[in-house]
Amino acid sequence: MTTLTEDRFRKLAEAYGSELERWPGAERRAARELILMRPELRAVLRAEAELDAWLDSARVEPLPASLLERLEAVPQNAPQPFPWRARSLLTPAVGWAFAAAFGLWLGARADALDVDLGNEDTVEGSAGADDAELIELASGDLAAFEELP
Amino acid sequence: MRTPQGDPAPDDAELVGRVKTGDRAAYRELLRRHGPGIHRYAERLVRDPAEAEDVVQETFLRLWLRAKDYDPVARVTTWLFRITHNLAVDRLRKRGRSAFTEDPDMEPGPISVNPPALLEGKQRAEALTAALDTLPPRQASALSLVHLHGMTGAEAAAVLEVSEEALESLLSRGRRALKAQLAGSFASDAGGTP
Repeated sequence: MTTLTEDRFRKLAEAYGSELERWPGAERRAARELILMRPELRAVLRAEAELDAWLDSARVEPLPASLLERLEAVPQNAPQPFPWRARSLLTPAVGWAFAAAFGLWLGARADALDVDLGNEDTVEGSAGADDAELIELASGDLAAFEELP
Repeated sequence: MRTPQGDPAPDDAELVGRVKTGDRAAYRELLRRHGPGIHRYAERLVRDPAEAEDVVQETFLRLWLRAKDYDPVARVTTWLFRITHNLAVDRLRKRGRSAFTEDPDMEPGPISVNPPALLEGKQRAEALTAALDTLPPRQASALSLVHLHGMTGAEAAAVLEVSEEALESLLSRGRRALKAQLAGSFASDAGGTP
């Protein structure tokens, strides 16, 4: 059980006033018990009651009509909240990203195919013959040079 | 609290969750519940009606756009008041008013209440507002959050970003200063009833 000294009781009354409901929850019960044991402490609360009555007289007025109108228009005039805005931005972005990724995949795939084909050409195709002619040139066979197209 | 159809009214946190998905009805309900209090608090801080309205509009714009930032550990009220508080303090700084960095022991200005009147109703509320306006802003904010907006000490401390101990000190000093300001208007001083 939380115990409360008279000094702490007075400090709480000076800060939160005469209504125990406003006091910190952890010390409220202890305050009630202390009052039961020390009824003279009610005078401490009474001393704060008048200011509380003053503070209670402060009322929250309804919003001015023009301000209410402005505030009600906020959702119409502002962008959509993040998830909706993100969705509207992301939908085309995802489409483009997918198209780009597909393009890259196709490109990579085509490159891979070219490499395979090139290797086959080197072994069996006409490019192999061209290489042989160049080798002859490099070795100084001018007759072979004249025969080049 | 129940809806007209008899269903339990959604709590604030649930409404903020719906605002995240773009639910305008949830936004309007939060505006209905908290708009007047936020407006009152903004007025208390910036003390300029037009600027207070701008602060309120920015607060609700943030609610609409940044509902995802709400952490359900705190009450929605605390979150909204915290936004309002920060927006107002930013504006005061831009205006060159160091409203929230004043000397903590600064004494309030001269009394503006007409003693020894036993004021009633609107007059009484106006006298209180005038007296609150003379307090250092942090003391006035602390009193306003706890007494007018019904926050607990912990919630008010979270809005003002101070410890609960510091909040108690602000409240005590604020109450002492208010008593001094309103002394001539107290019923006990005039021999009547409040």
